[in-house]
Amino acid sequence: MRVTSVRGDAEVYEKHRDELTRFARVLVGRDDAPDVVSNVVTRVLASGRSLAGLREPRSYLMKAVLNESRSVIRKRRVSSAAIQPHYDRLVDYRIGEAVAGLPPRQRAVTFLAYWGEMTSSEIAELLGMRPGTVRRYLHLAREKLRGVLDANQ
Amino acid sequence: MPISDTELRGTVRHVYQKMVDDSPLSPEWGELPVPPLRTTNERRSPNGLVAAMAAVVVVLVAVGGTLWIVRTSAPSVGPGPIAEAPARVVARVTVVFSPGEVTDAQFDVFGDVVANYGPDTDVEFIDEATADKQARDHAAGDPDTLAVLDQRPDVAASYAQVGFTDLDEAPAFQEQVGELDFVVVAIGSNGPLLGRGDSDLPAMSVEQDSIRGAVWQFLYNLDLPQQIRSNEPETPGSDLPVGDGGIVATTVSVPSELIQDGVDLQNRILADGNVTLQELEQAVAAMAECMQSRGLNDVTWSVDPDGNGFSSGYTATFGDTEDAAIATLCRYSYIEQLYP
Repeated sequence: MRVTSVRGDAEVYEKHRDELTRFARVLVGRDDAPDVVSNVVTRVLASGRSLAGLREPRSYLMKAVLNESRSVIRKRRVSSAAIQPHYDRLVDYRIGEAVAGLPPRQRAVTFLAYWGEMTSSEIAELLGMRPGTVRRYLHLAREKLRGVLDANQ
Repeated sequence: MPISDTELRGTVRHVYQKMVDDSPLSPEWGELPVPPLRTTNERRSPNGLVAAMAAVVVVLVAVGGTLWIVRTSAPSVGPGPIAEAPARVVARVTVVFSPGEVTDAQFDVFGDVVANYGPDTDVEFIDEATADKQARDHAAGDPDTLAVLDQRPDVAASYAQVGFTDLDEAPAFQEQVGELDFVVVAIGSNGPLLGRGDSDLPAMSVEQDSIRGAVWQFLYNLDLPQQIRSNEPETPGSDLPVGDGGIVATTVSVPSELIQDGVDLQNRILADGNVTLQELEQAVAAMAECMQSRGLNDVTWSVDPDGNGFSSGYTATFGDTEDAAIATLCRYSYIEQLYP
């Protein structure tokens, strides 16, 4: 039984690992992202839970990654530079800076909306927020990013 | 010329693509650190995880009359009790603090305490200036709400957390508050504040109540100065409705020690898990007696028979701070656990 369960946990982990790491990378940067994902999974298992037994493992783990990332940001004071890749265009660099300066939850919902092409309802379901809250975060983030782009025109 | 939505979306998407471009590399399953075993009956406590991580299994084996102590390392991961993730956020806790009031180390402890309740707890730490700014952003263009914020900066956290924009949207706001299940804690130079949605909120779940307990434990440990704001409501510790939205902020000075009689009474009432109207009346009367016996003038009290709560009052006696300390002590000793 134990072997079966661990194998099930491994399958769940492998299935979601890349998505979780991408998500964490946007939130805390490439250096800390693997640790965030690792910590989340280890904490779930250490608490006696089974990944394979979670009703909605993707949603559960994404929420956990968001919370763990916020904790990392708070404790380590992650600078925006930590998540910045190399950009070819100045406008991308400036938008990148603005994105990195967004509060984690605004960054999370804009990533899922713009990169993941998810609707507000889908994001809300995934992250356990109300759709109205997601729309509010998107609105606030969009206003900031629009300001950067307009200034760059 | 303002940038179009399409261009904004395209540019932001491109930036995010750059951020995640490198192939993500998290540890393989086999490379994950082996988590410690957590026993099924281990109580979830602030130090539970730490205790589990430090656990070493000691087995007593009796062989032929000789007692052997066998010490083993923690077993590898087992299936453990399967607990399904709740479908919603259990509680949202916003901690608002004044820089310098609370150290990073204290926040780390608090963060770990709350995090131990799982990823279904949404905790946010912001300073007072941020809370105020967020609240004003949400209330932009609404002079009524802005006026309230000017009068009660301590409720900014509630406004910021709920994020409504217009008090005229009361029904929608009520609906939102009803689903938020949030606890807001503001810690500032004037003492701590704990707020929650109004009485339309359903009773706290066990998890929320535990988190609330963790919040209070955290506040006690801070040993903040026992001060009351000068613009407190007439009865410190009473519920103050703000605006038509129905949000209620409860401002308290945390008593350093409770009255044992009151604690015992609350425990007796809570023994069966229910608080009847009669029991609430008994507790409120005892609270009023407590206030009166400590010298407060003209103590009054009442309990709403429809279950909408209770009220109490007194007239100024010794001075704002002293009166408030008595009222708060009595409230927390006799009522708080019954009527959070």
